Amino acid sequence: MSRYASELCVLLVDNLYGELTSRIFQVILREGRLSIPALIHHTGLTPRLVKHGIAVLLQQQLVFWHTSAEDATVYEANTTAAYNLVRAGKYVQIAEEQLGHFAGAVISNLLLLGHARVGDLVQAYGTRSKDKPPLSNGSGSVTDDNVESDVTPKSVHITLHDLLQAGLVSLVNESHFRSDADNRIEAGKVVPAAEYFKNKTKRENEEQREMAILQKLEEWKYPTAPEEEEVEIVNRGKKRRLEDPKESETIKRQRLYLPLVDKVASTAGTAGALRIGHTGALNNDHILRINHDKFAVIMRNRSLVALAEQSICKTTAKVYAEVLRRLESKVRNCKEETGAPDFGDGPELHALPQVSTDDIVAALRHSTDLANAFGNVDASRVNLRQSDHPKRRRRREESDSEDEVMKDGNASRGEEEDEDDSDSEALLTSASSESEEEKGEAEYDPSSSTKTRAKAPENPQLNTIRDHLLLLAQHPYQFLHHFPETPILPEKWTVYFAPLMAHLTHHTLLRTITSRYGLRAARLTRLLSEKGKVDEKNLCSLSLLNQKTMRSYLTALHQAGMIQLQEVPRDNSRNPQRTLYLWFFDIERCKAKMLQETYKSMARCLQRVQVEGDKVKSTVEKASRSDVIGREEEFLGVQEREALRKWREMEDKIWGEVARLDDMVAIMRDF
Amino acid sequence: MAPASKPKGGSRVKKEGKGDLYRICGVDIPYDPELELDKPKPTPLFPEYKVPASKPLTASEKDQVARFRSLRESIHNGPLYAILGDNVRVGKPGNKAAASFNPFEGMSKYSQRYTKKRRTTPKLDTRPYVLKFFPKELWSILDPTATETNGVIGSGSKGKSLRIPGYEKMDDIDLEISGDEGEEKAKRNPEEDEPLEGEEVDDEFDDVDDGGDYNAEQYFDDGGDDAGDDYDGGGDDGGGGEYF
Repeated sequence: MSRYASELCVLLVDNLYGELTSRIFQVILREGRLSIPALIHHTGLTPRLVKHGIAVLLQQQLVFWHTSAEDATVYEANTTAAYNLVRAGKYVQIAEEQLGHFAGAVISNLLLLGHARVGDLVQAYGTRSKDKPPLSNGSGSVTDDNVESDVTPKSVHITLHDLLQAGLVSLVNESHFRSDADNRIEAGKVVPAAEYFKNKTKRENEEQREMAILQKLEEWKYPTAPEEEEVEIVNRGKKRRLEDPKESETIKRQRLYLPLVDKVASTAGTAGALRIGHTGALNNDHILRINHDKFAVIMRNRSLVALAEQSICKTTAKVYAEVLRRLESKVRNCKEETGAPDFGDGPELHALPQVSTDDIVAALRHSTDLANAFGNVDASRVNLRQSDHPKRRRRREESDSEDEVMKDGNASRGEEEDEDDSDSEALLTSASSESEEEKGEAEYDPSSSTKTRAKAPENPQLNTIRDHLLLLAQHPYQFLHHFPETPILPEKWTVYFAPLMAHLTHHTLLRTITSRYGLRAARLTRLLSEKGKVDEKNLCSLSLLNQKTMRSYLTALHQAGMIQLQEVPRDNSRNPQRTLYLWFFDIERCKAKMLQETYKSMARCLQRVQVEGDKVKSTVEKASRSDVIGREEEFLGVQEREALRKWREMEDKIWGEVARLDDMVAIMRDF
Repeated sequence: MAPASKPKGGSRVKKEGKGDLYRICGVDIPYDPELELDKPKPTPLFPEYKVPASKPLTASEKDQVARFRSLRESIHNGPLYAILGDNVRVGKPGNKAAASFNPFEGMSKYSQRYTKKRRTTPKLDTRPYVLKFFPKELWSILDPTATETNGVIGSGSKGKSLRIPGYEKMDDIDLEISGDEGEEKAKRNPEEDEPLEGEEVDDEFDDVDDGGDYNAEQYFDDGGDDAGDDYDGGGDDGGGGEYF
C-alpha cells in the first residue's frame, strides 16, 4: 500500500474512532502482521489499552486476525475497510434512496455498531419506550428525527430482510476476519488433498483441487447460512418432517432461501412468492454487516448514469438508470465478470444477466418526458449521410450510384448499410468487439421498430423507450448490448461492463487532464491513446498545433507523469541526433499515477480539516458543553457563533471535496 | 539604479573605442543610467497563480456529508471512541503540559464541569459481542464470563443489549451516566483491572495523584468527580454488573 493511501486510512480511522485506535492501526499498517506483545512494543501503550483498541478495530472489521496452530494470534490491517469509512455517508444515502428512510437509519446504525446479530438489533430497536421522544444526539438534524415512531420488531425484521435481499447487508462468517492469504490457506486445509480426486493424471487432480479451493473461497465470501446452522437444518428437518410436514416445509424454505440473495434474485418469478410466503422474520442468530461490494456496484451504476447523461441526455440516462437498476440484483461484485467471457464469443455475452424490454417499459410507463426528449422530424427530411464522416459519405455516394445501376432494392442496400455501420463502429471504437451480426441487427432498427409498432399499439411508450435503448446501444461507448427478438425469446438488453469501464476511466482521466493542463493537452492525450506511440513530427501534424505550443503541453504532461517518452536509437552509437523519440500514453500508468495523487489530496484534505479544527477548538468545545447545547444564543457570543458557522461550512466543503475525490478513486480502482 | 536619476542636462560624450559614457556635471560615470535593467524581466519567483476553485456542493452531496457527520457524531458519543490520555507516552515526548499551558484559558473553571469528557479507554462492556469473531486472547476484556467447551461458546452475561442512539430505554441512559462515572473511577484505580505486566502499569500509577498535594489544575476536576461519586453512593464498583 502506498504511503499516501496508508496515511489516508490512518486519518480516517482517527477521524471516526479516535486516537487510540488510529495509533494501533497505524502501527499495524506500518509493520505488517503483529501479535499483541509486538503491538505493545511498537505502540508504547499499555497492554490494556492495546487490547481494547484491537477489540474496537475488530468489531468494525478494520483488522484481520489469524490464530496459528501455535496459538499465537496475529493482526493485520484491513485497508479496504478502512478506506471505505470515507463512504459511510454515501452508503446511508444510497440505502435511503433504495429502501426508504428507515433502511438508511439501519445502515447508519450498522456502520456504527460494526457487525451485529439480528436479534440484538431488533431488540435494540424494540427497547425504546413509546411515550418518550427519540433523543437526538446533539447532531439531531438527520438521524432519526423523521423516522416514524412506530418501529416494531416486525418492521425492523422486514427492513433487514429487504436490505439483505437487496444485498446491501450480508451475513458474516469467520473468513471475513481473515486476510485473503489466510483464507486461501484455510481453504486449502478444508479441501481434501489432490489424491482424493480420482482423475487420470496428477495434473487434473491438482486442477480439480484448485477449483474446489476457489469454490470454497467463494462460499466463504458470500455466505448463505452459518455453517453449523446448515447441519442443524438437516437434523431438525428430519424430526420436523415426522411431526408436522407442512411447518417444516415452510421453515426449511425460509431458512434455506432467505439469505440466498442471488438465487432468489436470479429466479425472478419465485422471489415475489417467497416474500409473501414467509413471515417477515429473519433468524435471530444471523450476523449482519455492511456489504461493501454491493454498494460499489450501486455507485458504479450511478457513475455510469452520469456518464450517459453527459454523453447523451438526461432522459436517456433515466432509462439507462432503470436498466441498470434491473440488473443490479444480478451483479454482486464489480470485478466479477472481468476476464470471464472472451470477446467475440457470442454465447459468453449471452451468459451475462439480461433484462427484457417489457420489464423496462413496465417500470417506466408513467414517466411523461420520455417522448419529448427526441425531436420529431419527418423521416423524409432526415438525411443520414449528413452525419457521416466525409470519407464515408463519398464512399456511400459511390455505392449508391452502383445501387441505382443495379436497381436491386432493399436487400443489397441493407447489406451495404450493415457493412458500412460495422466499419464505422470499428473506426469509432478500436476496442469494439461485438460480433458483427448482432451489431447489424442492433443498428438496423427501422424495420423492426415498425414491426413492434404494428404488434403492440396499446403501449405508446414502448417505441419511445426502445428508441432510448437503441440510442444507448449505438453510442460509441456501447452502454448497452442489444439482443433482438427471436421466435422464442423476447427482445433483451445487457450491459457488458468491462469495456464500458475502460471508457469511463478514460473519460475521467481526460477530464482531469483537461482541468489541469487545458483542452489541448487533453486532445494530445486522446490522440496518443488512439494512435499508440507517435513521433513528435507526426503528432504535430495530427494535432494541428505548431511545434512550440505542442512541446509546451507535452513537457507539462510528461513532467506530471501522464504521458511517457520512449527513445529508439537508429544505430548503435545512441547519438541523440539519430534517435527517435516516441510519445505514448499508457492508461494503466496514468491511472495508477492519478490514483496516488487522489489519495494524496484526500489525505491532505483531512489534514487540513484537522488544522482548521484546531484553530476553533476552544469554541467548538464550548459549543459542545452540556449546558450550552440547546441554548447557543444565550451562551455564545456573536463572534463565536460566526466562527462556528464558518467552521461548519468549511468542514462540509472539505468533506464534500473528499467525497468527490472518492468517486474518482472508485472509478479508477473499484469498478 | 532608478531611471529617474538620469541627469537632465547630462551631455553625452563618446570616448573613442570604449563605448558610451555619461557625464554628470563634468564627472564621468562608469555606467549607463539609461540601461533598463528590468528588461528582459526575470521570471517571477512566485508567478500569478489562479487558484482553482471547486464547484459548490450540490444538495445531494451536502446531504451525504450531513449523514456522514451525524454518523461520526454518534460514533464519537458511542462507547468505542477513545482518545489518548495525557498520561500515555507515545513516541517522542512532545512539549510538556506546563510549557504549552495557556495562562488565560488553561485555568480550571467552574464551567469545565459541563465540558464533554472523552474516554481514554473504549468502553467495551456495554453491548453483546459475537465472540467467535474475536480471538480468544480478547475474550477476557469483551466478556469476562465467556467460556468455550467443545467448540460451543457460552457466555454468562445474557442480559446485555445493543443500544442505538435514539432508541435507548430511559433507564439505559441513567445507567450510562453512572457507568461513565464508574469508568472514570476505574481510570484512577487501574489495579482493579486484570493484573498486567508490571512496568506498563507503573506509568499510570505515577500519574495518579494520591490526593496529598495540592494541585490547582485538578482542583475542580477532583471536586466534581468526588461530588458525583458521593451522589451516586459509590454503587458502581461492579461496573458492568448493572446492565440487567
